[in-house]
Amino acid sequence: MNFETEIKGKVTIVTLNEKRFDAKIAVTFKDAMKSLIDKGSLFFIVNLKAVEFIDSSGLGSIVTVLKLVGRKGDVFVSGLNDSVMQMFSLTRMDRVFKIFPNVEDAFVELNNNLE
Amino acid sequence: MNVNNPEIKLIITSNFDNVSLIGVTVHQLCKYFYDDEAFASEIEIGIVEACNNVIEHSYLAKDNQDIEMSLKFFKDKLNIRLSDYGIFKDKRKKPKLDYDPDDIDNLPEGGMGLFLIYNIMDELSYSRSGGKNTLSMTKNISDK
Repeated sequence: MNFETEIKGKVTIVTLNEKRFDAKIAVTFKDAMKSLIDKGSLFFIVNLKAVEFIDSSGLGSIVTVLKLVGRKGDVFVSGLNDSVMQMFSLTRMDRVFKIFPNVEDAFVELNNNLE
Repeated sequence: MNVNNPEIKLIITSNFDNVSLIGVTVHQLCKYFYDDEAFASEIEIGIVEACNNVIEHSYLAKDNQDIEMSLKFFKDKLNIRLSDYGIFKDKRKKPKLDYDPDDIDNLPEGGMGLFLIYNIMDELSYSRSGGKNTLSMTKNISDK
């Protein structure tokens, strides 16, 4: 799995550089995110700009991250294309996550919430 | 559609790496025949979820088992048949995905696949014959 992390203050930006976020990498993603949470990250932006397709395993792994940070943290999502947005809508996860067109807007909102 | 009800048969083995091959292929075929990106994306989601379910529940994640798929393209509908030789699990009961979006502790992390298939497809049936399980799915083409 190819992904990058950037820590800006209390916010950890995770950019997944994969075309497909599916069952093949969902477990690896969860493990990587658990490791970040163990190191103290609680506020995440999951940037899916490069992702062209997501299945329910990929989506479920983002839900896992939200459940792991619980009410002490938050998970924002950015950069969803139409297909990825479709998955969030079909499962009604668009009501669970705050979704932003790009990582910059997500960061401004999350950072404001933390001030 | 420039060919009368074309049909294609695809076979992969039960590995998550191979599911993406089916997904990408079906997506491109749907775009080619129906020229509708949203439709192609929806079908890809349904197909991928169905294949993932076969690997996880029919073959219990065992590698190198056959998954057969046939797609038949009609002007007004797409017929998909997905077959495997694993454990039969009745999929005739439409699953629910009821949850409170504010109740973080009880958000679903899995179990969404069959819900998605039911919601994407217009008709769905499941049968077993001679050790072969077949999930038949139909998606209507609303504006063709």
